[in-house]
Amino acid sequence: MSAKARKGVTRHPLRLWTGWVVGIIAWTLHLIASYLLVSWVCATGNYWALHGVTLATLAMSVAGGWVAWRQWSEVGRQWPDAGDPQAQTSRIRFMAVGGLMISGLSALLIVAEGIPNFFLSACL
Amino acid sequence: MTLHKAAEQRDIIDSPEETAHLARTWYSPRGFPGWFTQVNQRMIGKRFIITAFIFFLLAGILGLLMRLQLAAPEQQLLGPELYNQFFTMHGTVMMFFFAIPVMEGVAIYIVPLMVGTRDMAFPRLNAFGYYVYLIGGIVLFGSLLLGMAPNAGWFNYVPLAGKLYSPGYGVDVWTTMITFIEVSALTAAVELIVTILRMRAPGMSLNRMPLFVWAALVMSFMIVFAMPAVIVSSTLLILDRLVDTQFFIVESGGEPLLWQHLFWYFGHPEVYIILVPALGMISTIIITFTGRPIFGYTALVLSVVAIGFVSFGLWVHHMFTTGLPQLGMSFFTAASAMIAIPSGVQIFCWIASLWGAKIRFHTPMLWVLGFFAIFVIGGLTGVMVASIPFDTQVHDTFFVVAHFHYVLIGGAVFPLIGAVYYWWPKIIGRMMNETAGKWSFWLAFIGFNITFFPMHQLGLEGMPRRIYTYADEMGWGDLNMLATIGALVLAVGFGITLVNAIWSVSRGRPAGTNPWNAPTLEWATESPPASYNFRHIPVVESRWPLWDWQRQDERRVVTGLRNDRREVVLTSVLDASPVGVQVLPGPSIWPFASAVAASTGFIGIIFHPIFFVIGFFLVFFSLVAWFWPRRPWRND
Repeated sequence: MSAKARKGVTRHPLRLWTGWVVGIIAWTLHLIASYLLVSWVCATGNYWALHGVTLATLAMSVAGGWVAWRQWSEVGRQWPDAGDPQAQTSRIRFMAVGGLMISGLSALLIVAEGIPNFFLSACL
Repeated sequence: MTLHKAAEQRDIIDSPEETAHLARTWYSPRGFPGWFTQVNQRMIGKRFIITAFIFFLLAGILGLLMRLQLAAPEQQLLGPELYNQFFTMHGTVMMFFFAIPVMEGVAIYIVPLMVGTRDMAFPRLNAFGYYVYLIGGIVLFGSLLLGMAPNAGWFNYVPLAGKLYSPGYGVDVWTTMITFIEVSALTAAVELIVTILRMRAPGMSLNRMPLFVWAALVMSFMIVFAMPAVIVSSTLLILDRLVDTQFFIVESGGEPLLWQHLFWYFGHPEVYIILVPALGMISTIIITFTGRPIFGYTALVLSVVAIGFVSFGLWVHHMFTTGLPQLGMSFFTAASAMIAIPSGVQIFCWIASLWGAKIRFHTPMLWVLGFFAIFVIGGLTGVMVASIPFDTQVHDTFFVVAHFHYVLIGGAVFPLIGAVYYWWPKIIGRMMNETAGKWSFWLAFIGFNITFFPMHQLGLEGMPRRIYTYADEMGWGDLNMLATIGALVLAVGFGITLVNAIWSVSRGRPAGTNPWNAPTLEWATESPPASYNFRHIPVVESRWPLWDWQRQDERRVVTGLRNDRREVVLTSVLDASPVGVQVLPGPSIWPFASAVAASTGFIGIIFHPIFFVIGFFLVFFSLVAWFWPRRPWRND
């Protein structure tokens, strides 16, 4: 692990949690906002609001994944193992891969929930 | 203790006097006083487990009685009112008083041992949680004996549960006792979170934590986020019933669907609160009985975390027939289907772990394999009912009863029984009988499928749930009779395990320290563990410490902890680097007194609001005594 990477990691240990949290928050926002907007969309016909929520939260979850990807790159993109007891590398890889996968699943959830907006009426 | 730099390595020789002193420091009072004063985590965990299984037995008997009532058409073994009370009690007790507490109990007992510490973060809070749970359970069952039991179903829907349609005390008892169990669950969850994040053995970084500990951590966070919703909903309902607020009264602008939203926002994660620790148990058992590291540790951890998160976005799928907008419901259909992804990752990682391994087919492993068959069927019917058109057809029929028993018994009870066989030798110090265990498994497995598989067909034929009898002309008699026979076989299967457990306490073969050759820390200490759990807090260098020690023939431990007070090592969240020492409190009567005081308020309020004030002051005084500062000059 390079000195720069080690410095970045130790300075910002909370960055490790970014991927674990941001994607899920994005998905939660998508679910709640979409659910709340349905009756308003029915009344006004503004479907763009639903699509806008999907795009915005999708971008948010991708951003969470990107932070995790950067973190993973800093310590060398290898699959995490139980690791050398003296180095933090394995644990950082574990957290980074975790953030990446959770952000990925969140993005997938947002896309899956966004698809019905194209096919179903908000007034049914 | 050296906190920031490694001490020089040296061999450690334990003197018997020091060990005896340590045992005295961590001593738990025995006999009658011990019932009210013990705080050690293993004692509390054991109590949770035993009490929960007693409730399992009682609620199981209610289930059997319901099956006998439904065995043939137009029977009169149970009248409609009693039947309503029985199914309400069966569901409530199984979900709230068995499933959650037993999983917490196992976690309270096993997690501190697995992470290599001597107790949990707040031992007295632990004891308080248990007493609150016990009192709540006794009052709930007492209400059944007094004919005051709740009868509006385990999810207690309004307006049926409102004062107009349920005028007696039954629903009041339900709402109050649910609050009890939520308080108890929250205390256990906070305990587990702090213990797991701050009290792991040095070196047990997050990526080395045992999978069961990960599962317990996820379960605890889920409890913290899910339980407040049902506390809020039951409080609103009791306010409607006792002081005439109008939260759920339609005529006054209230909203019955609010109850369903609040309840299921808790209720759906609840299912996963039960399932997630079971997933951890399965991984633990598979590792031990295949004798090699699990395939996809990272993927398994992440899928458990993902299941924990996503389970909070599914609750509306319990409300598909309530007339909500289709587009709104479709978001929840999507999320419900997507949770199959992390669930599938788990299953495939386990299959890969089993593939080509020399599997030892001991009893715990059999229960895990039984889980695979049953849970996959339950998962598939779950995907079916996630689809709105299908759900609309089978809503409130026996298809749903079949589905959730497949998921709950297959997903949680089978792994739990496997875990009991697995950890019983650690808890008791003796092995359970293998032959009896295998008989128990096969009878339970066959009996379970005979009971619940026909219910899919009954549901498709239109048999509604929660009816106390049915007409002969409906043609449901044969399948119901089959289900009842299956239930009796299932009961015999579980009964054999009960007898086996009791028999093993005095007659079982001595277990030794590590009878299964397992790799995790709970097997590094005696069976049953001494009062201090570990003579020395171990230092961890991989995910499989015991297998490492076998190869290396040595182990590193923490030195420097005092043996004249209850000291434990605190470590950092991510890397488990030692950062300090915490002194834990000893046995005390005050958690019990506080639980009694809180119960006085909660139960009394059903009958008169003044008990709120009385309970408040009693709790205040007991908490003052509980938190009375230790005397620093005595250094205790």
